[in-house]
Amino acid sequence: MASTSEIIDRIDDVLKQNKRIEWAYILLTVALFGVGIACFITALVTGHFAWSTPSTITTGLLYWPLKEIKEIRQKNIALATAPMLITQLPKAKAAEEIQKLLQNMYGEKK
Amino acid sequence: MSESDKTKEVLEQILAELYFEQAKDTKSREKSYLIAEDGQLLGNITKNNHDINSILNKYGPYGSPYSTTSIFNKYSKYGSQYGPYSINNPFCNQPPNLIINGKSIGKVTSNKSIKGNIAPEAFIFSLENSIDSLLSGKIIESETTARAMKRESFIEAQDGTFLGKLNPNKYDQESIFNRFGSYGNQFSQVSIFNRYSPYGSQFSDLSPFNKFSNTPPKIYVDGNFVAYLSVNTFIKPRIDPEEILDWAERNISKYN
Repeated sequence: MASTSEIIDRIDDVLKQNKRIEWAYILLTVALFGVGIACFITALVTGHFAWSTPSTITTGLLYWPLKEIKEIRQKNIALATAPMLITQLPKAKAAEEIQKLLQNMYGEKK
Repeated sequence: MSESDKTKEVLEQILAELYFEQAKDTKSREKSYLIAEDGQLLGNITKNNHDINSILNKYGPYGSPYSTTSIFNKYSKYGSQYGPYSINNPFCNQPPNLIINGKSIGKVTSNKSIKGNIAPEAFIFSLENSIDSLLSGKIIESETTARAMKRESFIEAQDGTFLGKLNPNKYDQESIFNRFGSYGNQFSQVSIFNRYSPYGSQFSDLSPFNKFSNTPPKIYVDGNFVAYLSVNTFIKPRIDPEEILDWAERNISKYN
């Protein structure tokens, strides 16, 4: 079996990748939010309320990036927990807990 | 969450390594166990499901679907459809050996050409539902008996071959409704829809499409025999194979 430091390195790599993806989603969310607010302000200033339509749409679109950000954070927590489980628990118990973690996130493997 | 991602991959890798490490301990063998041809223990047959070495312990190296030494891992060499030592490989010549009270009972394999083979379905059904009789050396003989005991609805050929489930779910791999599955596909050797297979040809005795056959497939609903599947009008009770899909849609639950 790989040593604990090798496992931690592998986990760190994935955590870094997840962090990059998370930032991409955050930027996308901010951009969408910015566009929405800008349209809303334009609607208020010009009095053309048709301008408020894009802001409604962009607000709706925020659902997906926010959902992704939430999932990535869940994954990061699971990844951060794994080394602790391996080092602190007996192997059999650590395996059981990691399997439960996987099943909680991805459902039971058939 | 997505089906495949790096997080899942790395956690599964770690888990497989942890189980592999546990499975290296070969001293844990009891009187009754399953062993692969390469010498790898595949789990003890025991009433205690919490025993770490039990084949039925979902969180143990032999029962977890994430473990490389488990017959329940569809991607391992002991559980995959293509594994060289797998119970589920229909062409495997080196399947695992079942030892009960120190004596070899037979090979657990879906390869029907191996003499005295124990069907994986029957073995798993015995494990999960009648471990006492399994430990005394009695195993349910065939896959279809196990399925009948599970109260499934399915078709069985007269030679004992399972010919597919009747549940009208086109995504079920084992359903005759799944056009891409083994039993609904018109090119599969075990499909009644293959005109050139022994179970679909109009000349084979085992086929429902042979007008003169006295040995057509049998239909089971909730584990009970209900009728023969045949175009032979002299056979009673009978369901016409041309109408089987409509009949199943009307009479069988999708979740059966």
